[in-house]
Formats: sequence, structure tokens, C-alpha cells
Amino acid sequence: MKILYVEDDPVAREYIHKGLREHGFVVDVASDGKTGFERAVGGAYDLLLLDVMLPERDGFDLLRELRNVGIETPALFLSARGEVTDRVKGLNLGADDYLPKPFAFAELLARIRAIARRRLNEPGSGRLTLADLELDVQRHTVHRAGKAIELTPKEFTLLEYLLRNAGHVVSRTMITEKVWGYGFETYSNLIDVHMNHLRRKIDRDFEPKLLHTVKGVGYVLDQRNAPREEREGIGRSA
Amino acid sequence: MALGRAPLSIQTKWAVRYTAALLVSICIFAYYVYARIERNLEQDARLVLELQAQELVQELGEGSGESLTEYVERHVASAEPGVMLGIAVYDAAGKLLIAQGSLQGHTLEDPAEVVRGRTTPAVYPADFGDRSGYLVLATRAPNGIVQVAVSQHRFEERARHLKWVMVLALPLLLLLTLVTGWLLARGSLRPIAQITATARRITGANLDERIPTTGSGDELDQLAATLNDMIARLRESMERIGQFSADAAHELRTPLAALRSQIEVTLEKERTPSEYRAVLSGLVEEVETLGDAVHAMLRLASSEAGIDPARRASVALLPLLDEVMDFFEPVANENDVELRRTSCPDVSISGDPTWLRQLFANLLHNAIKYTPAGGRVTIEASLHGGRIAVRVRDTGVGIPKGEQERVFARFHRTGARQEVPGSGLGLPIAREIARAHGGSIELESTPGVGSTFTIWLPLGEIAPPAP
Repeated sequence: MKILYVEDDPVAREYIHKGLREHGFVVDVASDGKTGFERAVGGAYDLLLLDVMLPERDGFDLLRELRNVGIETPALFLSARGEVTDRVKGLNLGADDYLPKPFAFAELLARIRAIARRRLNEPGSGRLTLADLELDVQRHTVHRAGKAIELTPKEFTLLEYLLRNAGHVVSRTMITEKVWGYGFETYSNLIDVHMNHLRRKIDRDFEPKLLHTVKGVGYVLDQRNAPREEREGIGRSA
Repeated sequence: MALGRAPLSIQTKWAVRYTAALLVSICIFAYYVYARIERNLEQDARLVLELQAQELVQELGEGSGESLTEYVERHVASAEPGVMLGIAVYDAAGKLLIAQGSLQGHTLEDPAEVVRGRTTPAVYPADFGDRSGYLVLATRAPNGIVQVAVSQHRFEERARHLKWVMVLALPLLLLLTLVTGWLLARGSLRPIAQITATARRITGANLDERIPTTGSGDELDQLAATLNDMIARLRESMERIGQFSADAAHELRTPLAALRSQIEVTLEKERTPSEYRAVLSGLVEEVETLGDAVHAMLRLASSEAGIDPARRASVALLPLLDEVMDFFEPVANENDVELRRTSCPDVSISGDPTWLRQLFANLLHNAIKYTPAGGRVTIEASLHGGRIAVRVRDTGVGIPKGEQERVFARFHRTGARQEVPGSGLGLPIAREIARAHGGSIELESTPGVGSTFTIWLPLGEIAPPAP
């Protein structure tokens, strides 16, 4: 996956660049909006990683211009401006996600991968399965090993989100935003309580365990006991 | 180009306009007066002529015993010297009988014309070669023709005199009005000068000054009062910002110091990779806490700035409360706290949905946090006129009277910091959000019994967006 990373802060640029390279991404960098625009127009990228406050031309402007000239590369904004207004502005411009600084590197990874997946297979099917867990979106039912499981509406939405991202780590903030909406960010640590409830219902009486906690990042729904992203966690050196 | 020229002060402009307006009025008035007087003087001259002629005609007709020559000579001699009276008499055939005074040598060239044509006395101006102009009257008498002339010199003199008085008085008047205008303008603009002077002295650090008001209640007094209000509000904001910056710096300094010593101690000697890893993951957690604190401060700052009009919408209260309760239900369960909501009127609030969610989340979280196991948190809502009151009632530890206002202060935490996690900004943020929506938060609390936070919010649909 080829990423264009536009960031004016040299320290952030160096470390994020290094981190992304170590996770197997091909990364080009640019340090201002003008160069960023030229690179984005010239190269075939799978993702644009854009800082909002950039010299020459800010990230919002940059993306607006790119969309105007017909470049539809997925984009993720990184910004110290974390207010909802800015996020909404970024998303309205056609960005796929908006991550306020400071963020955990694992959170960035999770979001980049989520964007990559979303582009590969848009949600379509009404039936989601993982091992012997089945969720029917239309009929609003959940079964594990053939047994019906009662979920609250929010738990259902939560499980649907996890299933759509099965095998991939999603952060607490991503879960909060997607399942509950903006306004609860402060309480994303309370997501653990919801997860425990869900885990009790779908995992407690069954084997293998499907819902795993990834320390310091979030959660993953996976058949394997050790999820992939945990194995390539950020604590390891290349 | 007018560039670089100092702009005229309002005072000068007013004085100049005032003077110009007055100048126009004076000129019109003076012209009128002059024209009137000139006409009056001419009429006076005619009157003198006509009287002389009338008397002469009468004398010719009746005869007073005095000879014509004597009569004419007496009249010419007794006339005021400036009048330069001239009298001439002709017989019926037009032959000159006598000419005295200014008419000597300027008699009629064709007296027959008078006899033939003119029935009414004709008055015409004439020039006899000296410096003054004359008015001449020629008319038929019963047995001849009478001609009388008077000099206009005296009248012209008076008119000229008047003209000079006016011409000389005008610049004086102008100067006078300019000065009075300038002084008057200065008088009425003095409050503005005071406002300017006070405003110059006001800086971020000095917001104690107030513009003096006269108490007259006029426009400038209102302006001064408005500006004073503004200064008071600015002062309040500045104080809050100052206090907040100090608190925030202090709040961040403590964890930063901890971070620093952790790093320094680790660097003091060689450690094993696993030791490094343990320290680094500890650091990540602390940095995360710091990041959360900064986020909370930003949120507080932005809620103080007011609602972004673009995000304002009509928010139905009932689903919003349910959403928030839904989020905290498992948390309450975990803490063995019962969470419930009594009936709630189906109303809408005009506001920012994200903020309103945050407002109720903060209060609910606060209530659950401070309610011991086995307790209960209840949400009630009721209508009071145009406002809705949402009460978050807990059976928690309660807050002593003296501490009740302080729970809304930034970074305040009830109990020890370690016991209850949080940024210490939850309630201040909630209060600012309520304020931004035109509402408020009240607190009633009895230690040992519980607390009730009442959120007052105005109802109301939003106006449809402009097309």
C-alpha cells in the first residue's frame, strides 16, 4: 500500500514515516501543501495522510483542490484541531477519516487499515459470519453455534461493526464514534464495559473465544487467539 | 491625491459646515435687505421729485404773487445742498422760461414732446456730466411744462455705505461663526474625546478604567454606558482566561514533572530491553492522560466560544437522553448503581447535538462516579413555561453547602485525585455548554443523602435556514 504523507513538523514526519515503513507501507513525504499537491497529482497513491495546518496551502484546501481535479484517493486528516466542527468540515470535503492529535500510533494504523478495507469491499451483504458466529443484518438476529443470542440494539450495532472489521483491530475511539456518535469521546475508556457485556453474551459459553482485547489500542474480533495486529505491535523493533 | 493628508477632525468638519450653512443664509439675507433698501431710496428720490413738481405746477396755475423767477430761485436755494435740485419751466409752446440749479444747461431738447405725448409725469435717469447721477421728471403744467431734477448722489452714497458695511461685516461674521461653531462642536464632542482617552488607557492588563458618564442619558452617555458594559465583560473574560491558563499550566506541570523524572531515572544507567519497554509503555499511558486533559481544555474553550451556527439543529430531547442512558447503563450496572428515567415531555431543543450529548453524559457520568454501590441515579424532565428542566438526581455522597459552587470550578475534584479519575473539567464543560444554549445548571445537595443537578434549557424550534 502506497501512502503520501504531508506533514510540516519534522519530528512527527520522521517518526510516523518510520513507523509506517516498519509496518510494510510504502511512504512518500511532503512538508508543505504545495509540494503535497504536486506529489498527489503525480503519483498513484492508495492513501493520503494530510496534516490540516500546513504551510503554503492547508490540508483542507489541498484536498478540495485534489477533488476538484478529479483525484479521488482516500484521505485521512491528522490535526491538532480536534473540534467536531473541524472534523465535520474535513469529512464533508470528502476525507475518509479525521484523527485528532495527539493520537496513538496503533490508532492511526487501525484507521489506515479500516480505510483500505472499506475501499476494497464496501459493506453489502446482509449476513456476516465469523467461525460459528452469525449476524443477519436484515432480520436483526445473532446466532452462535446455532443458538440465538439476545442483544440490545447498541450491542447489535457494535457486533456488526466488529464483524465488518473481523480480523482487524479497531480502537476504542473508532468504536465510540461509529456506534455512539460524536459527543462521547471523553468516555471512550468506558467502551470496555460495553465490550465485557458483549463478550459475556457471545463468548462466555462458547469456544473458541472470538473477541480479543488488544492492549493499549482496542479490540479485535478474530478466530485466532493471537490477533495479527498484536503480533506486529508497536513496541517491537524492526 | 489626498493620501498622506491628516484627516479632518469631526470638530473641524462640523465648524466648517456650520459656518458654510450660516454664510449662505447671511448672503441671502444681506442681498434681500440691500435690494429692499436700494428700492426704498429710489422711491424716496421719486417722492421728492414728485412733491417739487406738484408744488411748482400748483404755483404756475394759481400764482402766489411771487414772480416765477423768485419762486424758482427760492426753492433751488432752500433745497439741501446734496440734493442738487434743478428746476426748469417752459411755456405752452415749449420755450424755456427759466432754468435754475442743476438743470442749468441740461434743459429739455424737445419740450414739445412732453406737451404732445406724456400725460403722466415721466421720471428718467440722466447724466449731467458731473459725478453724480440724476433723476429727472418732466410733466405738463396748465400753461407750460415743468422739469425737476434731483441728484441721486445722496441715495447712492447711502446704498454704497450699506454695501461696504455688509462686505466688511461678512468676514468678521464668518470668523465669529467659525470660532463659535468650533467651540460648540468641541463642547458636544468632549465626551467622545474622553471616551477615546479612556479607551487608549485600557489594555488587557488594565480593565479597571471606566468612561465617565454624565447621567444625562443622551446618545453619548448611552455609548459610554455600552462601552463600560463591554469593558466589564472583557474584564470578566480576561480574568477567567488568566485563571484558566494558570490552572491549566499547573494541571499539566504535575504529570509533566512525573514524566520527566521517570525518563531521567531510566536513563541514569543501562537497563534491559524489557525494562525499557515497561517504562515506555508506562510513559505512553501518562502521555495519553495528558492528551485527554488537553482535549478537555480545548473542549471547554470551544464551548465558551458559543455554538457554531452551522451545527445548530433542532434536537429531540427524549432520544438524546435515551442515547446517553444507553451508553452509561452498563457502567452503572458495573458499579451496582440503578439508572432510571421517569417520564419525559416530548420536546426539542435548538442546539448542537454533540454538545448536548456531552452535557448529559458529563452529568450522568459524574452522578454515577460519586454514587456508592446500591445507590440510584434518576433522570427526570419537566416543563416550566418555555423552559425544560432536566434533573439528574443521585443518592451519592452529596456535597457540603460551602463546596457546592466550587464543583463547577476548573480542575476541582471532590475527594482525593487518585480515588476518582477524571480531568476535573466535566462539570465546567457541562455548565459552559448549558450557557452556550442559553441555559444554566443548578445544584442542590445534602451530604449523605445525594445531589440533584438541574439543567435548565430554553425550548424552541430553530428558524428555517435562509435559502
